Amino acid sequence: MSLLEVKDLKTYFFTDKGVQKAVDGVSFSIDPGETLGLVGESGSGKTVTALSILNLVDEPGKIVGGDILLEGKSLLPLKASDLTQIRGRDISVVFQEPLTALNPVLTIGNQITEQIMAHMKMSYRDAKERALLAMKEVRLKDSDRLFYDYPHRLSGGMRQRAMIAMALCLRPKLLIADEPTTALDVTIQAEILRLLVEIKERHNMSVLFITHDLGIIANIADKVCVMRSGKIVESAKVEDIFYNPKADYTKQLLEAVVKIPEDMRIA
Amino acid sequence: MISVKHLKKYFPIKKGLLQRAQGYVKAVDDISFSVAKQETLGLAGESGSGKTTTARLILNLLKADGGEILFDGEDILRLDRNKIMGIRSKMQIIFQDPFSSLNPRMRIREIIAEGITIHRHMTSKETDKSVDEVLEMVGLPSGYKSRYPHQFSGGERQRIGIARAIIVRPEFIVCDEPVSSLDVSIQAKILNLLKDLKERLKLTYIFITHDLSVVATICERVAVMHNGKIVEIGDTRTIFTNPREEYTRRLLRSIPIPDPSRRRHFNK
Repeated sequence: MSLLEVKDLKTYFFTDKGVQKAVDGVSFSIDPGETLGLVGESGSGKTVTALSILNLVDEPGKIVGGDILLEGKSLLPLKASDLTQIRGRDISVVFQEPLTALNPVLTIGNQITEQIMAHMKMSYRDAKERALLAMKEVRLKDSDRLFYDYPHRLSGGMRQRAMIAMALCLRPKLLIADEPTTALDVTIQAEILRLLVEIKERHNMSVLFITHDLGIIANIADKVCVMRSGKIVESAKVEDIFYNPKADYTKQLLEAVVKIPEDMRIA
Repeated sequence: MISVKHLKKYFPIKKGLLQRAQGYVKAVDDISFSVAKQETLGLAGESGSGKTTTARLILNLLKADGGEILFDGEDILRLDRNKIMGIRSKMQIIFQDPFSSLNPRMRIREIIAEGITIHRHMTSKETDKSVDEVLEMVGLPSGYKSRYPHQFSGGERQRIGIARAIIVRPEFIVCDEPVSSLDVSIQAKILNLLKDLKERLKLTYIFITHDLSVVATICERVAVMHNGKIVEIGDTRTIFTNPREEYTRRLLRSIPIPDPSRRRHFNK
């Protein structure tokens, strides 16, 4: 059985200027341990798709159709309190800008500890232990000291590691990563991506990876959905998308992407 | 055409009540390079490497703390004001974010013509003709003249930014991350436009970017910067295929290449 199944999802935004069909009949599924890459340009609807899965779509947006199933159970009819339990424990998320997602007045350690205690019956001491373990897993150097540091004192790469530690401390079954490395330098990006792949494999976690970057998709996704104007124009295994694209739009994207020519790549 | 020698820019770190300098950030730390006529040199590096500071020093938007910048043999750091104004019109800049660099209250015609109204004396008819001409060069219809910047897409705004730069007939343009905020499908089009214009107008570029794929696409030579210094400089193909410095190697290995067969390579 698929871990996550999205069926004919429709999320519309009802504005003064009319109805914006941000997500318009999107379907895909993710198996346990699988990484699905959702790729598209700005405004294609990829982020709204992620927010819909988390039921975090704000007014004037609304899920108007379709279904979202986690291990066969629909998430849409759930009460807010049940959803809060699922978010963080079964599904967690890492966003692009960790500084806006982290609470500036809480130390890194306390944020992770709080996250653990919100979802599990645990003493502060045990939760702290588990938080430190999570910080070590994402290789935050000097985690005993960093535990008591505030987010603004960390570099961008370290903040993103802290975000990942927070997202992974409860061993979620699904991680939604929405452009998690877009704001980072390329060497830091590579470290974070390698870390994600490593942790995913260790825990057999599923990942929904959202990005505009075809290079990242090629290097981490098993399956790919290409989105445009709220619809999935093509979905296939990563090799098929890159070596045997079917949809014209996929072909155009691959053609357009600025890349290092084959004969100029480092061995 | 441009020759930079031992260029330095140190920013003081001020602390305490008296704001005394406690030390310096060596943003640009003794760098030297030159750019030949009609060549494109890439200044590549990550954030904080000093690439943008270097560009601002060359354009005289920042005061250097040492070194020389020779433009056609003249040291622009030591010229008087009048001569600098003369050289300024030969140099232009294209910014990363076309939206923030375009005045939202000005129509496209005014935005594009601003440079010639400052640098040259022209009648309204002549100005119109020049604007039409550069709009054609950047691939925009002349009807766009009476519109405002917010009515355009990112790619179109960048074309307007380019039109605005080339209208004064510069010899040299600093391109500061001109495609970084654009969608994938637009980036290549803008790079191609810049390539065409270089040929057509015999331009010389310094191309500032963090994106080595962009360097591979448009720069004949590249200087890799790190912590205010040039780590390695030379022919782009040579540096990409056979980097000498460990930092350059690490940078090149970090680029996710859109080809799944390279995956094992990337995750190593």
